[in-house]
Amino acid sequence: MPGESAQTDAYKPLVKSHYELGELFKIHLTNVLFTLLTLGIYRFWAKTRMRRYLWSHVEIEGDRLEYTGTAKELLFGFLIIVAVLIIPVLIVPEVISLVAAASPETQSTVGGLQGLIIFFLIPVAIFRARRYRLTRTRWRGIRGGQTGSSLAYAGTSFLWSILNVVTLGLAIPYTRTYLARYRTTHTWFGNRSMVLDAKGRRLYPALFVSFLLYFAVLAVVLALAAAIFFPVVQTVFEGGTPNPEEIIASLGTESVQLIVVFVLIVVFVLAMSLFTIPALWYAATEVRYFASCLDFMNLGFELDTGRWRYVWFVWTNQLMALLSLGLLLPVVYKRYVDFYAERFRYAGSFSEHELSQSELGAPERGEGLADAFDIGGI
Amino acid sequence: MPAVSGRYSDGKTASVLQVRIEIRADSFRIGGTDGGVPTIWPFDEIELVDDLESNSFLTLARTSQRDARLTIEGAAACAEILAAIPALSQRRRYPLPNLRQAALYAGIVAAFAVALWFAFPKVVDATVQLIPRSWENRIGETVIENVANIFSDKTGDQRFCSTKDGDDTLKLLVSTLAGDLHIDFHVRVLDTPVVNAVAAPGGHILLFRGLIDRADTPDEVAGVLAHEMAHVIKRHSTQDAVRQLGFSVVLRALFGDPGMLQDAAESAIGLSYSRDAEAEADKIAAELLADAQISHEGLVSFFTRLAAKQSGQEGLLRYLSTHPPPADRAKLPPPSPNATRPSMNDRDWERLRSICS
Repeated sequence: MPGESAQTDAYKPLVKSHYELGELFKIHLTNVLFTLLTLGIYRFWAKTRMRRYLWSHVEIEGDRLEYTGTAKELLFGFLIIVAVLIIPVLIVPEVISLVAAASPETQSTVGGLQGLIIFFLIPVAIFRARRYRLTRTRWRGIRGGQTGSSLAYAGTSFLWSILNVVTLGLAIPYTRTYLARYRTTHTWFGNRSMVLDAKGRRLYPALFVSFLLYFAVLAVVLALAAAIFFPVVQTVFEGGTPNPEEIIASLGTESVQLIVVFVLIVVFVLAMSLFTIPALWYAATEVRYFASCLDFMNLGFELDTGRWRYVWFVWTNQLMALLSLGLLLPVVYKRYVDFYAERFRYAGSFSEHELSQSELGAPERGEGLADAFDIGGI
Repeated sequence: MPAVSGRYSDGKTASVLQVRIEIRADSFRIGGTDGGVPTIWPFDEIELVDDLESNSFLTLARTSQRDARLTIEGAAACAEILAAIPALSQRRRYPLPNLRQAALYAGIVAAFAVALWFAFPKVVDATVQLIPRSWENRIGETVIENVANIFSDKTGDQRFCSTKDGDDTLKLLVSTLAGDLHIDFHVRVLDTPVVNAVAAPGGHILLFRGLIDRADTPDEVAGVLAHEMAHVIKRHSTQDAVRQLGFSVVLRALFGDPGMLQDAAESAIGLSYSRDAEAEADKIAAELLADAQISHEGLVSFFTRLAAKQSGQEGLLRYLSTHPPPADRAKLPPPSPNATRPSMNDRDWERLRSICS
């Protein structure tokens, strides 16, 4: 395309990272320690402490972000959710089905209903948590905000999910694009909202490639399992039926057994995580496309990354968080922000005097629902 | 008059101005703002926005102008600002994570937990007393239904063994052991090779066929039956159900969805309860047997044999088992010399053994 290289040159990095691993670890380890010591109650303060650092060490156009949330807001948000939601949805049905000694069929109906309610509530939680975080984010004193309804968001998300079940995932590009558009167009900063001019159909090639990748991964994992695992089992237990307990017992002392079990779990997690690669490949295509469709105050955006680089980046981040049981999260945070600092760019001139203070309301309490379902990461 | 340079945004728009900040006795005079008219920030209205961790970067705000921000960069300039308002580090717009506050809430939770720890068994007992026998009976039927479905691949009544003679023998044995207790026991034999027995709420007891097949003497079956009847008398399984429910209420109130934590806590605490319960059941079973003048040697020998078989599972697997290892079982005194009555005669023993054929 003519003029493309000139355009690329005009893009400049949007954010600058000031994250330091030492500081991040200091906060993270203190958080883990106090959270354990207080039977989990400190987690609201822990989250707030970490977010304070994460926000205030991101620089945009020379000024830092500000996180204005407090631990108390999170704590009370959570307590309210316990009262109005966890007890009626999770506990009361359990009591009723036990006391009424319901038949297995009724019990599974109740369980299924509970599952459906929770499945419906997860997008509600995601959307509400976004609103809380956006309203607690400031830059040059200007606040973020979110319009739209979490119930509408969850409702459409629910209907799209049904469609995806029926079509075996063929509606994924439309689903994800619709939901991303809903989130983005209801995201505000100051008096301006964002726009995502993305079309779901543009992502179909990526979907088909990721389907193919899925079968490739399946073939590789099965072949590896057949080539390594089965011969080993056969030689060790020639003739006999392999019994997991005997195999473990034959390994010697308990500590050796533990190490072997641990290594097996790691190998298993690695093998299973290969199955996320096709989805990540799709996500890589999607995130680049969405970045190019994003519009805020007539600025253009791009995410300058190869697909495989993005896949590698997210895959290693996930594994690191998972295998270290969360201990290496500071590394994940730093890698994440460094990645976007280097590769997320914008073009155009930012008319700062046209961005004025937000007049949207802000919730009084924080993301209780998201905390209750343990979603939302940071 | 000393002055430093900084950046000012008024909080109305995202514009940022390079400004000269004059440090006066009790205020900052911020020049070049508001179309050339300086803005005055009195010291007692100034708050700190950032966390003060670097000494070369400061963001300030003002209480009466909530959205405006003043940023000062450079070590020398920051030092001058801090020297002008020494109390600044105590005047933060957003409180730092407050250990005292967190400790207070954690203390409330801990006090609650301690109170619960002591009150919990009593609350469970009281709740169990409140549950009508008819509810218990229905809960028990559901439990038996689930156990039968897990261990048997047949359906409906096919899962349970029943012959007229076998049923009569079982009834006789139960009434011998029950003596003058006014409790309805519903004892059935489940058609499965697994060696086990289960007591559910409402007096429902399942003897597994494998247990009858593997027993060396009729007294062993009688001993296990007495043990399960003791669980019924003490309403152990109802207590179990109430306790688990109580735990899930408490944990969910504390943690939202506790997930793995709940499983771990339940199995750890359930384990200690189940050891106590097993020991209690052993003791009461011995009394039931003694009242019926039956020796409890069968009970002891059966569990000892079972334990010897399971001893291969020492180590990791031991913690997964709900049955206490032999050392944790009640130390029963030797049976009294009067306990000489056989639990069943040879004909009845044969009838019970063939209940599944």
